[in-house]
Amino acid sequence: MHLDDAREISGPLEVAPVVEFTGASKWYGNVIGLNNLTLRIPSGVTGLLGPNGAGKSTLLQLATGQLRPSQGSVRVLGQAVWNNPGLNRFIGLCPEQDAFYEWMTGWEFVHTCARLSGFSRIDARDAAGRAMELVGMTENMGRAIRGYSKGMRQRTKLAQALVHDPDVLFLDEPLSGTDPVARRDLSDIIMGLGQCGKSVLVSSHVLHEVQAMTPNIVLLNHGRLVAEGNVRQIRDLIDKFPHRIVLVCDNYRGLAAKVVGFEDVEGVKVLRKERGLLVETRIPDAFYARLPALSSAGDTPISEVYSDDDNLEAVFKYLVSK
Amino acid sequence: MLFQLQGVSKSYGKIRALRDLSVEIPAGAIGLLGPNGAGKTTMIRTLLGLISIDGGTGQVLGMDIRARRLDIRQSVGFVPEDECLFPSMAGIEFVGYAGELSGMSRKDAMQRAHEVLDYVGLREERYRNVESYSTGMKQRLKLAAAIVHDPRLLILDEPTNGMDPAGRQEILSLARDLAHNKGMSLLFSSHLLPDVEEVCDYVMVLGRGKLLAHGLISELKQSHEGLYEVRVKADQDLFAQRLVAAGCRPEPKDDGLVVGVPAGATVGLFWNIAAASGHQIRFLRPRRSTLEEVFLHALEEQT
Amino acid sequence: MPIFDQGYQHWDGKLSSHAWRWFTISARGARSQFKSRWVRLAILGAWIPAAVLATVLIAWGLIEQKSKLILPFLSLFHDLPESIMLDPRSYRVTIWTIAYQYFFLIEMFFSMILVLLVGPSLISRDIRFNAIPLYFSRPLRRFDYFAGKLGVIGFFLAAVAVVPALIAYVLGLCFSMDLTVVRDTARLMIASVGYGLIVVVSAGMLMLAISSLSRNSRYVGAFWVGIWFVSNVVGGALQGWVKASWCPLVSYTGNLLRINHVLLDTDSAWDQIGSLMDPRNRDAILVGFRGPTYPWYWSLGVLAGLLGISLCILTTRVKSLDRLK
Repeated sequence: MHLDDAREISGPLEVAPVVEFTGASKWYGNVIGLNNLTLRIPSGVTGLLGPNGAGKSTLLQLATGQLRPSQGSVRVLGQAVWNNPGLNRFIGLCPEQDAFYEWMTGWEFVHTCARLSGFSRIDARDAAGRAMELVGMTENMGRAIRGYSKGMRQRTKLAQALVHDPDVLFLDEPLSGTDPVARRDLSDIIMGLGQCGKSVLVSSHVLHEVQAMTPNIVLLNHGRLVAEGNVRQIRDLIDKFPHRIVLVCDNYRGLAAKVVGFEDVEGVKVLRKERGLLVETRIPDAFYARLPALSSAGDTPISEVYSDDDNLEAVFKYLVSK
Repeated sequence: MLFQLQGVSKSYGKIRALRDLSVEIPAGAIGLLGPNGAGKTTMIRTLLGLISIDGGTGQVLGMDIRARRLDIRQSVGFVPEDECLFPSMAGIEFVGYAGELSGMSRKDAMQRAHEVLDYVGLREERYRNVESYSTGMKQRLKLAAAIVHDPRLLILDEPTNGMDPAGRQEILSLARDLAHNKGMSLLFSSHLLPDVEEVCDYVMVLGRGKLLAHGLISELKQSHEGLYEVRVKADQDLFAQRLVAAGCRPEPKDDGLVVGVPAGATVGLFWNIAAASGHQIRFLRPRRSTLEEVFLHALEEQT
Repeated sequence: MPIFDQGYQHWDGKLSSHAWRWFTISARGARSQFKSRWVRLAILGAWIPAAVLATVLIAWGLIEQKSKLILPFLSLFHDLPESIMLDPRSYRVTIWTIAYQYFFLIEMFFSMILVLLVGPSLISRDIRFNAIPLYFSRPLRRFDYFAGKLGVIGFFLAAVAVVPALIAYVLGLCFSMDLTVVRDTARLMIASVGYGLIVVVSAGMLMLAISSLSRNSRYVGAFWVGIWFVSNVVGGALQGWVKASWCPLVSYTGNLLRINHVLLDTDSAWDQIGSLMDPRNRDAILVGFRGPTYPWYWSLGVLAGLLGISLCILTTRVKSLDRLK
């Protein structure tokens, strides 16, 4: 589904969709919101993570021009975003709270948002129809928002965020309160938007969903940037915690005897219930490279191999917990 | 039996929330799943004896849901989904009050409140006004208030909604501990399927007021003979080609492959190819259904 | 076992009977309201009229006994007609009745102030903080909840109106040293308790109903002040312009006082006073003291109607959870 061909108003098409923070800080009186943040968000879907109070809302508000940075600069599509209402034409925001005009129908609301972005009445009508179709609300768009379920409200919020076909999208907890069916649909829509070349920043607490949408994340804690990039690469860089690899093998004790002899292996734990081993190693490359030979040796065929901390939850825990 | 419903129906005007629902659920950690509007809230309220049903019968912990509504609530604890508080009280007063409302004497309630607040991990915070608590703390407080009278069944309605990962982990580990180690039955209603999978052994799926599926999670997940999930570190496409050459049927999924092996082939096939072509296999497991697939499959069967 | 399990323990203790559930809510509510400085001041202030009532009753008891203790104060009573001072006993009921009438008149002010201080947050805060599901997921019926909240108002009103009236009665009895007082004035004691109950139920339920209408206690308080003052003012104004007999019904406190007069039988008391006066001026003077003379069951009807409306509002606003969302 490509929305690019529908756009008529030209914008800074030459610049790749990017959000750029350069030494940006924001404090509220004495309280620090964001501390010296330098960050570039490329096109595609990026996850914004962090515990409560980490500065995620401050980051989103700075990026959408709702707050002015106390220090440093925040640029979207090459322009400073503070005091630049014209830039809103290319930015879409799906906020966490519900703030609808409950008496409007879903379609009317999205149509109004399109008009507010500068579309003519006819263009707005088409754009609203397309946006509602994209989020799967065609059936219900004629009903008043008052009667919507949580899933329908989230879909409508997403529709108003992309009705004007922005280049950059900020989604704050877009899947909250939705049932698994809606979650699947909305995730697919968001991934689709990323594939279209838009820059989508998704802030969420539900780590397994972010992981399903994208491997690229930005992790904040206490107002500072902790990690940025691909989850697996970040995992590789975390030295403090060795990689944990599970091997399942009928002759797990025999396998343990072999594995313990390797230099890079720091620990072996026997998992009796799974009939396997939990191996801790600091050089995962070296370890994984040995597995085919180990398995084919004959007496220790490995039937399963997986890592139980190669995922976003583990990375989050390692980087954020005290 | 934890609870049983026979032909329960409940309508609100034109909307039929529950249609002839019949189910028998054993004691343990039960997950309650269903899309919005499936009747989960109505069923929970029926179990709590809060609503009068139009038709059918039911028993919760052996007590009839029409005749012994107050007694049922004596033995059931409920953690509601929305933000709710008794206003302007300290945490310890909150839990003590909850205990007294369930019929405990003031002294028993206070003693038990301290014990339960220790268990959920609210230490010095219990002496502060509840309005100053963070979301995670409020959720644990509600959990404490729900277990202060030692219920036999604890109902949790979207307990991890809106909580950050650390808070979610705390609630889930408390729920798991209560269900598996302390002998309390749990009814866990949530849209976050991995959470349900972490805590519960048994699930029931509702859809449009009817029961779509129920059973042990391990039994509902289908086995996939001859299917494996594989991920290699680099050159996955090359690996896929080698697999095809060996008679397999690989398909991309997320950042790995789902591979169907020819009949009679074993896992050794993958190791042989990896050894020959120098690939690093980072993930190799037989294909397992996820709870999400079980859920979506049950929904599809309805339509 | 040397190491004790720090985790969750089970509990099996005695549970109190369901009948006392409302008391828990009342006790908690009263305790938390008592923390407020204004409430404590209002209660203290409300005891001043009670002290005055007690003084009057004690003084009358001393006069009856012609005790020496009252001699220094006899000058205060010099403008009472001679016939009263000669035979105090036969005017006992009258004087006590009139004393109680004024006591309740002044106490009405303090009662309304207390309801204003204590009442608005009772249900409005529960709605604002969404405590209703927490209440009703316990073994609690709506009746218990309303009775509990009403009990908070009842506690304070009893402390301010009923208890002082009873204590004053007992003091007056003691200083009369005459048990026939009980026979003569027992009606006053029963009337005090009865009137107290009526005020608690009527004002209490009305305040609870208004409290359930809004999440903001301030608006509820303002509404209550409106009912109190505005209805009084409008009632007075209507009496001045329209001069119909139903005009006093508009004033809420007026209705309560009308019931009060009926219970205390103030008419008989003023008739007796009137018999001492010059017949020519009697009616003109007494009109001011007697109060309105429309049938008392009109007021009862108005109060019953307000009670009905309060119940309707309460049952709609505090919905049981038997609804869709």
